[in-house]
Amino acid sequence: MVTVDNLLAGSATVEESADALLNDPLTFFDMSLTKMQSVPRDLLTEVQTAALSKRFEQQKDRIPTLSKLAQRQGITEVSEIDDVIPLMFEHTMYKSYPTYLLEMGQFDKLTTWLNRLTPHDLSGVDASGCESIDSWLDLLSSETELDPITSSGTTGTMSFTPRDRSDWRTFILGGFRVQLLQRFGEPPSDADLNEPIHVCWPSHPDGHTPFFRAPHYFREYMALDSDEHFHPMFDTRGDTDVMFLAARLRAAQARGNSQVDVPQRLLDRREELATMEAERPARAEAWADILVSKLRGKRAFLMSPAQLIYDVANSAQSAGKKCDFAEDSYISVGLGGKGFDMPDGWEKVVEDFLNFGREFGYFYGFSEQTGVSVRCEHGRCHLPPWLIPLILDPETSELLPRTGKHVGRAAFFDLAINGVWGGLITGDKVEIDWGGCPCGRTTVHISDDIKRFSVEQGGTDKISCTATPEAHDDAMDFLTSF
Amino acid sequence: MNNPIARTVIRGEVIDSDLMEYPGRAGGVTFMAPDPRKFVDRLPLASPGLMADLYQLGFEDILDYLEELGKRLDINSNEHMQEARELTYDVAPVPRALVDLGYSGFSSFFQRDKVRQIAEKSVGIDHIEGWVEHQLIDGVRIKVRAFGSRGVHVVAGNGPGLGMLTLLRSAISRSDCIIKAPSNDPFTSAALGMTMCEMAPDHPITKHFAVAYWRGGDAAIEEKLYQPHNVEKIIAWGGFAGIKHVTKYLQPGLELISLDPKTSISVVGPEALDNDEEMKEAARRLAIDIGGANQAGCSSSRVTYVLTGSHEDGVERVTELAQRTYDAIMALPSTFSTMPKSYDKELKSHVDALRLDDEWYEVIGGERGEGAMIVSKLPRKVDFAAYLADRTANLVPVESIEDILIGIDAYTQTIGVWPESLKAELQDIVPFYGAQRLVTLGNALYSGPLIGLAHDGIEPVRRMCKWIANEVSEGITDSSPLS
Repeated sequence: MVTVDNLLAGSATVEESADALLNDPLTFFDMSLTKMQSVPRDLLTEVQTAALSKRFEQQKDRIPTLSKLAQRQGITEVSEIDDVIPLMFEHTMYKSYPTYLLEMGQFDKLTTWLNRLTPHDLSGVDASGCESIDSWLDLLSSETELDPITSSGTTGTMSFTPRDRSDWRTFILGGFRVQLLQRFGEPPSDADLNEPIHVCWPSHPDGHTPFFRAPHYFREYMALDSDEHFHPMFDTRGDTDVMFLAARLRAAQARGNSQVDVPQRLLDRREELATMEAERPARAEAWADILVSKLRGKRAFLMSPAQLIYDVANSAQSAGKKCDFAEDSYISVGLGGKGFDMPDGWEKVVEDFLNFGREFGYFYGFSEQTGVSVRCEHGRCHLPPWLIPLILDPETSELLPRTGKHVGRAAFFDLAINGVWGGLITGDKVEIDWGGCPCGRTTVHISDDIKRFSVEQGGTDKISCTATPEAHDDAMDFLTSF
Repeated sequence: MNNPIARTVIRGEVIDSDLMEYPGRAGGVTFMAPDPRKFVDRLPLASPGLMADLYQLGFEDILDYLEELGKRLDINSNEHMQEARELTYDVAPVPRALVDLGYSGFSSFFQRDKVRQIAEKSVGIDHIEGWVEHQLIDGVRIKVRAFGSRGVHVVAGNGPGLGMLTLLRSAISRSDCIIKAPSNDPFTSAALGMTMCEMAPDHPITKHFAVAYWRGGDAAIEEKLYQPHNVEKIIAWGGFAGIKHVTKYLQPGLELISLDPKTSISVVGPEALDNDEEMKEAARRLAIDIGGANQAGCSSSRVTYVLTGSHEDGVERVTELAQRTYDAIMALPSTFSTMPKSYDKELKSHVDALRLDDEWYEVIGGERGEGAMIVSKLPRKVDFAAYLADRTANLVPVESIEDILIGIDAYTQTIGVWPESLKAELQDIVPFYGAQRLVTLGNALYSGPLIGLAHDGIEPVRRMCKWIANEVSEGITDSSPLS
């Protein structure tokens, strides 16, 4: 098996390395953060370019939408990074089906639509019997390699990105376990690689939004399938149909529209949902107790939106409770970005409760791709080596020079992702720096101050990760209060 | 280059001192304007009693003033307006020719018979000019008069004429008018105010007119100004965020007249799909309502519902209609509709995504950013209908009126209907859902009703007035609480 060591030693060619990178980036980089972040820039670019070319060759006849786009653009090969620009998908591609199909529950037609966005063959899936979004996504993930994720926007739409299981592995094992637990400059320890870590998750343990599905894979790749090491706040799955209802309610409220039909399936579950709501404070308290007593001195992995951890910390603090995790734990409390109205001094409350000697971590990533860019000690988020940044001029959408410092619309080509085409244009505004970084990592880095273009232009069209619990709650209130 | 100056005009006086810089926002121009903290105390009328001088004017005097002002606003001779137009070219979302179109009609804006008609149809000149007497069935005589009020107008920046419209509404209702200029056009209303100062600095209408810029939401200014002892009405154009923000100042004695953002649609009957000639006519009319003024107006059509009737090949015929509409838009004269300056990025990403889909949508045109027609193959508008702009419309084949009603909500303003006979099926139903104006297709941009009459059913001029009753009873009327 070719690894990055062979490339650096000259015992593997760029072409062979590109094949190995595409095949399994984590094995290619030997499960090592240090190796991921130490390939000389020019050499990495060579490997990335070769891999990009191969990736297009692999996918161009297997992803129907890509085939059509390439045909329209008259593109038959990609030999330079610039060549891929006309073939990038906008994030809107993953919600380009008529919402009508979702409202009418025509999941067989939605399967046909999804089939055009993935190289996996969905033609054998019979979704005509599905009665909910959750049951449809359950069916897809049980009968195919796909494990798609959804996200909902305030315009009342829902996107579906057909990730597959290998993509989740790259994302959670490579993006999180390898990058967040290891220290740059040191080889991974046996514990880093092979021991279960306590996962503290402030919400549902499973579901089909990124926020609900990620913990499913945290259990697999962080807790190593050990229930002893997996601590979600709730024991029921997050409900995708409730999330879709939430999105439609918000859209309807904003438009002065009262024409929202609530699916019978959700009406039937009102009592169950109301009970769950009523139990929420007790569950939050029980969860805080686990963190404080059971995980004392243990290596923990805790990731939370600020609002959720603040609520827990606030009530735990008045009871005089404090955490005491092991020093090699990982904590991040800004999940989903900024822009949420938090009470003054919330950081202090959270810091006091978590009582963690090291700085909280920060990373930039999004659910449509596998790349997680982790902030270094100099405040720069370093891209993983399988992500090619393509920063576009916000006005002209042309590629900005791949040198120096620029601010623009972020687009990335994810060489690792298998379930969908790797080229994606985001709605994020980022500042990229192609120069070196004093931390010693060799990859390109972006500022940790990331904004959404749509927010800058006066509104947000997306229920972000942070607002997910809030939107979920709104919909639950609606369901249980009439 | 020196930044341009947005002057403040207060009651006959032009102010250009104590300038501070306002960086351009969202593509807007960076400009200088007087520090609002220095003049906010002088903006409102010092005392409500000072309204009296407006009542020394007869209605004919008001018409005289406006008629003379209109002549001076001619873009060919008015230097203030020329300067404002020059500064607008860069920031306006529409191309130069359409900016010119916006400024070209100013000299006829205040034509005597037009102003008279607006006053008559929106309020009634008799109620403006004096007490109108009615006799109630119990013999009580009630006299009613529409008095002007003191208002702050938070105007939008997407058309140069909104300051003039505000002046017109204020003048005919004898109201005191303070205009808060928008950041994307802080110049045009000021140019209007400067012209008024030059023409008649001491005239009561000039004395009851002020224009200023401050940053929207600047609490230091708004908390002072938005008080019932200063103003009685806030007349605000704007979206959800802007209106929500103003509502915190409301209290008894200070009310809000909200001129909501709107979008418009068209409805076409199955006759349009019958033959070549019918289709051509419908396409010609759709092109005007969609493409006119580059679809920048709230009355511009964005979604067209086409009833397919008994046509089994409805979707194909609607696609044919869409192609003809596209061709007709491309053939519109360039002074009325032209290649967009820059095609909206978010919209483009949506349209491009649908272009790769043969199953649910058909996209015609749009690859050069010139505008596009999107045909839905299901009876629903596209999910991004709220973004449709830059000469991009969605044609939706539907089987029933019910399918159309789903697309109508509180934001729907104009419905252009063709043929005329189809209106009978719509006119008594659509108001339940939110539409405010039905027009014969091809006439959505006709601005008479917007300026003079109901304005989206909001009746702003009637509501700018204070309707005062003077009841004359013989003795003590039986129904009095005293009896």
